[in-house]
Amino acid sequence: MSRAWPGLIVFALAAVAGVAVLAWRAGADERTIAFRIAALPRGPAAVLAPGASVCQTPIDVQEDSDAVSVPVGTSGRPGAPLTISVTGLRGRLLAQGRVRAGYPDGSVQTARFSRIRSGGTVSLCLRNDGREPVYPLGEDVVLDSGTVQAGRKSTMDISLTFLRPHRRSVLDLVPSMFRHAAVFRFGWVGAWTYWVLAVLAVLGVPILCAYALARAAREDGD
Amino acid sequence: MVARAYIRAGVPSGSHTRAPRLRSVPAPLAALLAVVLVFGASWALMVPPGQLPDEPNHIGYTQSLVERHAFPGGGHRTLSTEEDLSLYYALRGDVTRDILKQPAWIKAPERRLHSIGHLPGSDGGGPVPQGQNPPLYYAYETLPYWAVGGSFFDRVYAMRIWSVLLLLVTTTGAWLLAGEIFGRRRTLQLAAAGLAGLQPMVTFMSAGVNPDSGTFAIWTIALWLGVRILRRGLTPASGVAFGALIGLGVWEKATGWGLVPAAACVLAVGWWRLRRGGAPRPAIPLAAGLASFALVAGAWIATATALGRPVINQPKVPPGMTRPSLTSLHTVREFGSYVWQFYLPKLPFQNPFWGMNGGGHRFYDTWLRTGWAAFGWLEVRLPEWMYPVFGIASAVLILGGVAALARADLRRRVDAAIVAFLLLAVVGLFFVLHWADYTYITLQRHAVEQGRYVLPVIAVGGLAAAGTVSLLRRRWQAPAVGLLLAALLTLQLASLAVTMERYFV
Repeated sequence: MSRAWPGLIVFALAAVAGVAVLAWRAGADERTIAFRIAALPRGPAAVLAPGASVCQTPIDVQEDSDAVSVPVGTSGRPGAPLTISVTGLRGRLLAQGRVRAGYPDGSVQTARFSRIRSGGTVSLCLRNDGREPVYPLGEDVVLDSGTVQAGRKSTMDISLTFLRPHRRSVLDLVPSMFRHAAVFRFGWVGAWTYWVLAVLAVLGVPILCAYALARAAREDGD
Repeated sequence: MVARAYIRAGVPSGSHTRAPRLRSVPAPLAALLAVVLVFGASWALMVPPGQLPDEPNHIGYTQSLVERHAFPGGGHRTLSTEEDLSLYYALRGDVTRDILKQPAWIKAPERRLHSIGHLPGSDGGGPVPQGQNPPLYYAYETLPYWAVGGSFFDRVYAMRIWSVLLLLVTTTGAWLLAGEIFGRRRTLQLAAAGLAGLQPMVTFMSAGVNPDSGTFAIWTIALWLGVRILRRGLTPASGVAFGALIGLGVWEKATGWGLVPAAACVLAVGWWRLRRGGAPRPAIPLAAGLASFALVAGAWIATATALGRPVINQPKVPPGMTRPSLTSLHTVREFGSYVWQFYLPKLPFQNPFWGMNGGGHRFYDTWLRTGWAAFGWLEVRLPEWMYPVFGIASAVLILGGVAALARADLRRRVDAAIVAFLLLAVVGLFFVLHWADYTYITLQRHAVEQGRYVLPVIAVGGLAAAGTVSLLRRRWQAPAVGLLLAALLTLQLASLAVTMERYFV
């Protein structure tokens, strides 16, 4: 048997085991979040009196979504019902959902709606349908997005978490990760670039390592 | 007679008269370089712009050199409008250190940025801490910046890819260094170069706009050249090359000064061996080495002085305080206490040092954790259970390296000068790093140490790995290196995966 074989066998077994563990971990790690507005729930982003509404705009829809979660403050009282609408930038209603009354102060509330597709730019509006004021939480952070209430613009942002239509494992999400990674890169870079690199890393690299190992062992044996 | 004298001094016959021949790249090294290139390119293209430690400021430094023809410090804005706005759109505000925030994933913000039109790139160059850095790396990065043109992102990613080439130099340097230490033993060379080129933080840092990539390359080549001189003898040519490289180190980063004592050791031993061997005019190679160092390093000192810039990065001294100095007994005592508490629990008679929390934890938190795997702005980590594993692996490699050294010593195959040189390089680096950290903590209550700063001696880690493998019987060495390569490959994939998951899910 060639001097290289023991090294190659150990390398192959260990590399396959390593990649298998990574794939298993990625397959078991399921995600529900589609994307977030990059604002944390640090304080009230707006105060919604009964009947009032506030819109977060513009929002780049980074992934398909059919629900949104928002942390809501209620000053200790049971939370008022909310209507959550997703509209195009010209006001066309794209989707709508509701949050039932009675939720606790500071809790994160989720409204489901029909699916909105990634790639577009939308506004998301919250309307207080109850008789007590509530305040969605957020912070002032994003330059090109903000809230609009009664025609007045604010740089405050509501902490919005858009949810996926279905749970997806991290392994399932690899294609969308590659698509996301291609934004703000070289002009010619696309998701294909990352597929090529992934194939090289997962197939080409082990072959090259095995070749290096075999040649090294053979040259040492000369 | 001259040739005989050089042979007695350890110089291979004829090497002082014949020009070195260019030989083909060994196949295992070529394959390893291809592997390193794949991972380097993956890191470079995957990490969002500005998401390496201090990368926006390093990009700004290069942009200032190209667009303003000036060092940063005198500009109106910290970063140019072009860099500021481009990063803002790409990062949807800012995602730095906040794992709940993700960069832009769709083309709409890219189109919005494009619709703004021309953004000035020459109105930056304001004061940033990295503006004190020496300019060599940034001058290197001006080439792709200038050559590629295009959008801001075209230039940034070209600079990153250009930086990856330095990782190939680091890997090759580690291969050559192992070749000098172990001889032509490809399996051991592969182990050493594999660790140097595929250790995840080395790859991550080398694939960004950051002078660390150049520092790793310069240190690794300097370690190889130093060992080569000690093994083969000092010649005028090797003295000039070595001295100039050490000089270039201080043009690259202030850390480069840490190599000076080790380099002095090489030149002194080289001269002494020539003299002992009866070589004619042994002072000439020594003088050549010293002169080339003085010329190159002196040029930086003269340039910095003429421009009113500090020669090394220094924190500002707050009113009422004085800069720590090793001439003060109090400072020496306090510095000793700081170093002790960095590595070990505080002793009862010691005063607690700022940020040490009783002592001992920074050794693990800083050197080990952020030295192995802390991506993005250090917030992207591997699963917590892996860090103790890194600790055990590091301990095995270090102990294995020491054991290999001890075994070689028992067989009287150790050149004490080489051990001293490598040890001085490591100690010199750690001294510079600890002194900088101590100074910043004392003056500004700000710890600056990060694990990546020890990576200029990654090639010594590679030697330790190869030494550990060398302890095994010959037939087990290739399997051990196979295991090491598989571990590094898995680690690279895991590191890329957690980084992708942090930014793109």
